[in-house]
Parts: sequence; structure tokens; C-alpha cells
Amino acid sequence: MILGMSLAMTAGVLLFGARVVNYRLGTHLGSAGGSFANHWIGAVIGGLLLLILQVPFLASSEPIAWYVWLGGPIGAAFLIISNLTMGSVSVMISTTLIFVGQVGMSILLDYTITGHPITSKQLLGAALIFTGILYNQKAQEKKERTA
Amino acid sequence: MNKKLAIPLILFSGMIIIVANVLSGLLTEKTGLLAVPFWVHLTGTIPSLLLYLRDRRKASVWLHVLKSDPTAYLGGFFGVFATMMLAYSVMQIGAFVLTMLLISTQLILAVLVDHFGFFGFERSPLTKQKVVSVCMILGGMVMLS
Repeated sequence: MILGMSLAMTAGVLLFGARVVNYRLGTHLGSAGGSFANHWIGAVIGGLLLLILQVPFLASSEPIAWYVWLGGPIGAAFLIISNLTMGSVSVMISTTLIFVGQVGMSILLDYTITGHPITSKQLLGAALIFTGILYNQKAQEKKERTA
Repeated sequence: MNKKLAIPLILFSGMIIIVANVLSGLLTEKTGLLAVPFWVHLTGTIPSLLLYLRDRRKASVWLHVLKSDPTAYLGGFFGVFATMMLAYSVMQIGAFVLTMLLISTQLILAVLVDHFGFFGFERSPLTKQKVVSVCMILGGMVMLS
């Protein structure tokens, strides 16, 4: 659990960095160009990593359901939307909106696919996080009104 | 982009990205953890390329970015390691806790970016309210474990 949580937080840092960097690239290459560069560079680095470590590209010869391959294209769509919308609203608002979308979907997926029931303590934690976000939003709006 | 259009799009992107994370987790069972970033990025290249072809830029633009702002190409590098971590974590701790941790980490980073005006974003100094909200978020993160 601790390893999973630590890796999740590290991934959060990396994704934040990737979003910001990709936005910069998108200003030069366009949103689709930014996403294209991000993906082919990632594929090359990922492929090189496998070759260097001498790890097989597929660990199992069992057939793979078609929808399992959609993670990459969905990620591409996410990047394109991120690039198109970044700067339209503040970093805080965009992060909050992504939060709301992710929470709803993650609850659904935990019940249907991953099999990780949510505990009441975790729900309280989520409520505290959401309260923190809303509190920040209110403060931000108040500041904007007075400015 | 128009704010009214941006808001539902960002919300939608939040919904689909967690689906992508769970699918990457499922793919891990078939490809192995180290191979997931390769496949995820390769399959993501195809739709990005199709979209890019409609709005392509000259090779000189790519080279200009490489010379003037090479770190702008680091997204793919970050993505490889993030994909591996996400694919592992989502099956270990579930999508909900993963989402909370991802968002909390990114939100705290967003507050720091706003405060210092990093990466060219407009500066929005830290206030007492922001400190309180960050403390709430940190408290919430502790409760997730």
C-alpha cells in the first residue's frame, strides 16, 4: 500500500511536469503536435528501455482484449484537451475540474473493475481534500472580486 | 479557448484519463510492467499523428524548438515513468485512492506554481486561505492510507 501510494504521488509530480512542459511544446507545434511529440518520444524511450534491459515486449502470449489497448489513445485525447484548454482557465480551476471528473469515474471503476472497495475513512479523506479545494476556490474568487 | 467550452472539456478529460490509467493497469497483466509505457505511447502515437497531420508544422519549427527550448520535449520522458508508476499503483491501491493522491499532489504543485509564477504562469501569491486549504488537502491525503 505504501509503495503504491508513494509511486502514485511521484507519478502526480511527473504528470504535472509533463502537462506544463507539453503546454510549452504545444505553443510551438500546436496541441496535436505536442501530443504527437510526447507520444512518439515516449514510445522510443520506452522501446529503448526494453531493449537495454532485455525485457520482452509482451510477457504473455494470451490474447488481449481490444479495449485494453485504448489506454494510449485515451491518454492522447487527454493531452490534446489539456493543451487546448490550458490557459483558458486558471491552473487551480482546471485542476479542480479534472479532480471532479476523476473522482466520479474512479469510484465507478473501483466498483466495476479494480475491486478496491472505498472505506469510510478514505471517503472522509476525500471530503477533506475536496473541502480544501473549495475553500481555496472561494478565497480565489473573493480575491478576484476585490481586485 | 472560450472559458464556457473549456470547463466541460477539462471535466471530460478528467473522467477519461482515469479510464486510461485503469486500462494501462489491465495491460500490465499481459505485457509486464516495464513494457506498458512502450505500448501506451505507441498506441497513443497513432491518433496523435492523425490529428497532427491536419495541423502539421514544418521540420524547421521542430528543430527551432529543439534549439531554443529543448526541455519542452521532456513530456514523453516524464510520461514513460509516470505510466509505469500509474499502471502499478492503480491495481495496488485502486483508482479512487490513486486519483486522490494524483490530484492532491498536483494541486499542491499548482499552488506553488501560482505563488512563484513558475513556467511563465501569472503570479498569485500564497495567502492564509491557501495555506489552510493545502493543510486540509495534506490531512485528507493522510486519511487515504
